[in-house]
Amino acid sequence: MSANRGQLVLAGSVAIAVAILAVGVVLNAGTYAGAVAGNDHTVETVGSARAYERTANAGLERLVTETGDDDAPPTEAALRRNVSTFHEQLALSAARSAGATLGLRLDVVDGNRYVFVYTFDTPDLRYRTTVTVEWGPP
Amino acid sequence: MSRSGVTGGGSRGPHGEDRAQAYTLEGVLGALLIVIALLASMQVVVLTPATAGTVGDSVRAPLNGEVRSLLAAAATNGSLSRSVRYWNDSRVERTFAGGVTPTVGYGSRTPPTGLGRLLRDHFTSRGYHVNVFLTFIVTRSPPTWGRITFVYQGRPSDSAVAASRPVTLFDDDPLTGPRSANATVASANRSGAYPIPDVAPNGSLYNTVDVRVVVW
Repeated sequence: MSANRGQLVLAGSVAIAVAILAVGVVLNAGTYAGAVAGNDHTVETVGSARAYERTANAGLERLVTETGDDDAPPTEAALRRNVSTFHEQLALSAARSAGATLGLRLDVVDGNRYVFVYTFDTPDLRYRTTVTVEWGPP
Repeated sequence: MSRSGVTGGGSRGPHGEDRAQAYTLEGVLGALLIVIALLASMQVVVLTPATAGTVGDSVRAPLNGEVRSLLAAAATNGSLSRSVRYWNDSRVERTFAGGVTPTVGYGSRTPPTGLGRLLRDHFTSRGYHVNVFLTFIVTRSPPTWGRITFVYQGRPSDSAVAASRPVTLFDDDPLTGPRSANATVASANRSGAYPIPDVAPNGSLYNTVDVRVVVW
């Protein structure tokens, strides 16, 4: 029995040390999540990409309506001119506020349906999607 | 048969001293393990309290998400655009309708707009401070910018979070102040009542305004 006393002391010490380390790991979990800066930055960049996408979407819907007439959809040439101006403004804003290169162009005209390509690029992210707007009489 | 009245329980004899050394060594190792574990745990836990007026690291990411969500909600329900246009058709006021001064906009007051109420309900009522700035294009080439203040509640701390959202204005968008009559952003700018200019005069597009919210 006495021969095991030292071993018991050592075993108990190991158990206490493990318990302290476990508490430290649990408490550190929140700090670690915040310390992964790359993930936080990417989330913010994607958030910016989507915010500009929604603004582009709303703007394009209105442009398609206002470029056309009440009884006729917009011509491709007129729409391309207006989209080019819109793209320029959004791109300036995205470059300034998010350090991003924003692309927006009319890609396909299919009857009354207009398909636009939207891109949002940063050093960490390449975001691409299409926006489809359908013209309809008011 | 032995009587172990000796502390440590070992019997004296040829192997007693060896066992004592072993016990000592094991005790020292055990103590060392505990100290190392304590040191390792202390390295990863923040022990100092946060400075008053700052935003802790564990709060910043969720708070940034809240700001983005608020801007998204305001954009979706139209209150973001209406707030950008909340001006009267007046050349005298030079700030938002009912604002304090052009320098601070509404200052620490709650703006009487949907965006203002969202900011109050989600941030200022919980003890946070908020600044809101509108940045717009003045010239396209080369690009130059102008800025007006919507809300100003002080100088942000180093740990403040910020998010922004673009708003597109069109020529025929009306001013939304209580004394805006039938003025549009374009007509009000021409008369000197509205500061954001028309940077696309050849079409229905007017300007793109960046609304930036800072919270701390």
